[in-house]
Amino acid sequence: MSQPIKARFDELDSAWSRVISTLNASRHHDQEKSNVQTDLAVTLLTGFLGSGKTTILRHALERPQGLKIAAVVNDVGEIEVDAYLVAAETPSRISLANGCVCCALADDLSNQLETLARTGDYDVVIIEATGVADPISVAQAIHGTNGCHLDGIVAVADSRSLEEQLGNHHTGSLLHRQLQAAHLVVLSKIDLVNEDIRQTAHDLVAEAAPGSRIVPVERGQIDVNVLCGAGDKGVSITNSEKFSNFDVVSTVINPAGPWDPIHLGNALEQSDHQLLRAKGWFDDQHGNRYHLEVVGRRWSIEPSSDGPFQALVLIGLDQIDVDAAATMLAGITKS
Amino acid sequence: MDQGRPDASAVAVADGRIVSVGSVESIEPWLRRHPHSIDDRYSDKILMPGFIDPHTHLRLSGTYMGLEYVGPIESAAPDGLRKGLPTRDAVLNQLRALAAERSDPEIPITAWGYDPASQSGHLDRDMLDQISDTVPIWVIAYAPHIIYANSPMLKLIGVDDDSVGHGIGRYPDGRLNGWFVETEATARATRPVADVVYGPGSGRAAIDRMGAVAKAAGVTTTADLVWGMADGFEPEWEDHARAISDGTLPLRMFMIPFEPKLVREFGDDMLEFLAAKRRQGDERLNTHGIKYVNDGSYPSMTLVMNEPGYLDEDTAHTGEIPWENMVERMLPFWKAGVQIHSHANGDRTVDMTLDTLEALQRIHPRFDHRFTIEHYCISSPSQAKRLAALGGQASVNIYFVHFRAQLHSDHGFGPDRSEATARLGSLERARVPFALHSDFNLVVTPLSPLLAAWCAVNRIGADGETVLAPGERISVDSALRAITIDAAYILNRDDRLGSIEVGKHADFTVLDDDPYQVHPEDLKDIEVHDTVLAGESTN
Repeated sequence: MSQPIKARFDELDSAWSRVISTLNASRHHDQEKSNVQTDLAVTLLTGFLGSGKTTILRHALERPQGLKIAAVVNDVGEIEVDAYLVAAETPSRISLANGCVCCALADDLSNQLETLARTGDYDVVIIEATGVADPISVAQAIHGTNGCHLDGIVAVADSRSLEEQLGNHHTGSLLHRQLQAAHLVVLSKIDLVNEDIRQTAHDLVAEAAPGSRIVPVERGQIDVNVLCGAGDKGVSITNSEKFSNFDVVSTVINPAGPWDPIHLGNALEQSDHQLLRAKGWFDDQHGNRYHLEVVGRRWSIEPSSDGPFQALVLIGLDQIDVDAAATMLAGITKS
Repeated sequence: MDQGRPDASAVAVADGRIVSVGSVESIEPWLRRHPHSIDDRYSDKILMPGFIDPHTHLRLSGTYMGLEYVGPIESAAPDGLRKGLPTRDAVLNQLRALAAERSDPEIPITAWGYDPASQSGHLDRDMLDQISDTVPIWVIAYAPHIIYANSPMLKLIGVDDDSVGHGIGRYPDGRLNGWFVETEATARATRPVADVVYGPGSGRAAIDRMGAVAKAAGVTTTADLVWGMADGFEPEWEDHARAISDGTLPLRMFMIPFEPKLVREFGDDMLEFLAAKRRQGDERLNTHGIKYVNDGSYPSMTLVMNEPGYLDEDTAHTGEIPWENMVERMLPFWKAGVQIHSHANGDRTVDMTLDTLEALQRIHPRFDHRFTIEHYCISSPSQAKRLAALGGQASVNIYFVHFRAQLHSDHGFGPDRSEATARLGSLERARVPFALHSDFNLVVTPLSPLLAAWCAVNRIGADGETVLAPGERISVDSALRAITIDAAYILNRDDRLGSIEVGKHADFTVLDDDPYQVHPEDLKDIEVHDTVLAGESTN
C-alpha cells in the first residue's frame, strides 16, 4: 500500500473511461436495425476551441448543395456562442445535455441521433463536438447507435496555433488523439498565415498522424461533399462538375470493377492515395455488387445487392491525386 | 458510536433491531421477559456499527469489473490494487492462468490495458491461440484503438478470412491476424463482448459482484449516487430489489437519482416519481435525495480551481459543465424538502456550490436540510466555515490524500492544494458534519472504510512516510464516526443506522482487532471478519 505509484496515472483514468465508452456504446447496437445504405451518415467534427469548427459548420449549412443536413452541437462549454451562430441555419440544431461522465453524454447523443434517424428528414448529420471531447468516445457512441453510421471523423486544426497546442504538455496529448482519430484533417485559417507557417502546420499534422489526408481551408469554405458522406443521396455521379467549387476535383470511374473486395480493401489500406473521398458501387467477378465509401484514410466496403449502378466518383484536392488513385484502382485484380 | 455509552459487551437483538446494549448482566431485564438464546460466536471479536460508505457506484462499476486488467501500470480492482504487468510474456502468462480456470468456454476472457509500446510489442491471433483455441480471448489496448482476438473470438465476432472491413488486420499471407484497429473495427469486435457484459442479467451480476466487495470491506449500507445512469431508473431499482430478495446483496441501499437524467425522463412528474419510489421502498432499498455533478474528477484533473489555478493553466480541462441556472435547477427539490447531494471537487466549484446554497437559503430558508457537498477534494478553511454557517455538510473522498496527492504536487494542482487535499481537520474545527466515501469505482481508488479512516487519521502520502498537511488529520474516533454514525447522518438515517443503540437496525461490522486499541498506522490492516445485517450474519 505504501509503494509509490508510477507515472502516467492521469492517462490510466482517461484510458479506462474510453474503454468504458467503447463498451457502453456497443451495448444497444442492433445489426438488424442498422443498414449502411439507408442509415443517416454522421460526420464527427472535432477540434479545439477556436479552431474553426463552427465556421465550417455554418458554411456547410449555408451551402448544403441539396443535402438535408442536421447539426448536432455539443453544448458543453461554449453553449452560448455555438447556439447563436448556427441557430439560424438549420431547423434541427440539437443540443446535448451536459454531463461529465462519458456514458451520460454518449447516451444522450445516441438518443438524439436515433430520434433524428427515425424522422427520415435528413440525409446527413454533422456533430460538432466540444473542443475537449475525445473523438474515440464520441465515435463509439455513433457506431453504437441504431439507424446511423459514422461517415468520418474530421479534425479541424488551426494552422496558426497548431504548433503551440501540440507542444503543450496537456493539450498536446488530446490534440494528438484528435488528429490520429481523424480521417480527414482540415487545416483552417490558412488565409491568415504565410506559406512557411502553413507548411509547418502541414508537416506537424503529417508527423502527429501519419497518413492523414489534409485539406487546407480558408474561412471555413469546404465543399459539403468533402465534409459529409451522403450515401447515394448527395453526390450525383453523373453530374460531377459541381465539384468545381472550393478547389476540389473529381473523376468518375465507370464501370467500376470487377474487383475482389478484399484486394480492393488491401489496396486502399496500403496505398497512400490522396483522395479526400470516393463513393459509389462496384461488382466482383461473380457479379455481386458492393458499396464503397472512402473518407481520407478510412474506407468501407459493404455488400449492396440493390446498388443502382457500377460506378465510382473520386474526389481529391487536385487532378494529379485523383488520376493517381484511378490508376491505382485500375491495377486491382478481380480475384 | 453512542458517545454517551461508548462500550458494551453484549447486544440484544429482536426482529432485526437492537433491543438492548450493555453486558449480559445489564440486559437481563429484557432477557427475563423474552425467550432468547445467547450467541457467543463473536466473543473474541470486536463489534462495530455496520460501516457506511455514503457514495459509491456499485451498479455502474460492477459491469466493467468483469474486465481483467493486463496493463503496464497499477490499477484499481475490487480487492485493492492490481500490479502492472511489465512485459508481453507476463500478460500472456496472466491470460493463460485465466484460460486455465475458465469453466465455461462459451464466455470470453475479456481484458483491457495492454500497451504494445511498453509491453514489448503487439499481441496477435496465433499468439492468443497458443493460450487457448477454445476459449474466446478479447484484449482491448490501454489506448483503445486496437483490440486483439484469438480464433474462437473471431468466430464470435463473425469474421473470417473472406471478411472485408477497414481496420481488420491480416497476416502477410492474407489470414486474419486478430487485430481490430480504429473505431469502426473496434466497435465491431466489441459488440459480442458488450452482449456478455451488458446482456440480460448483467446488471444483477454487477450488483452481486460489487456487493460482495463492499461486504468484504465491512460495509453494511451504501448509496448509489448516480441512480438512473446505467440502465434507467426502474431496471436498476428492480435489479437491486431482486438481489436483496434473493439474498445476494448483503447491504442496505439508497438510490440517489442523477438529476439531469431524472429531469429528462420525468419532467414535471419528477417529484411525484421520487415520492412514489419512497413509498415503494423499505428499510433495505430506498431512494433519498438528488444528485448534481458540477465539475470533473480529481485524478483526471478536470476539477475547477480558484486562483492561482493549475500549475499549467492552459492544460486544465475545466469549464465543461455549465453552472447556469443552478439555483433554478435545485429549487424545486429544495422546496420539496429533498436532500441535495452536489458534487464539487475543486474550490471554485465549492464556492459556486456555497453561493447556490446561500441563494436557496435566501429564497426559501430551511433548517436541517443536510445539503451535502460530495467529494470536497480541494477547499479552504474559510469554505468549511461558510459551509457550517449555511448548515451544509460534506461527504469526502479521503483516499486521494494517500493515493494521489503527492503526484499532483508537481502535476496539476501544485504543492499547496495537493498537500491540503480533503481538509477534514478544517471541517471538524468548523463543526461541519462529514463522512468518508470511496466513490467506488469511478475513480481509481479501492473501497475500504478502514483504509479511508487510516488515510484520515495518518494522511501518509504515496511515498509511505510523508505526513501531508498534519493539521488536517483527525482523531481515530472522528474517523471511525465518519464511516459509521456521521455517515448515517449524511444519509439522513442516523436515527436508524450508524451506532449500536437501542431501537436501531442490528447492523454490525465484526473486526478481528479493536480500532481504538491498535496503533493508528495499523488501522487499515485490521481484518474484517464478518458483517451482520438486521441481526443476521452475512457470511
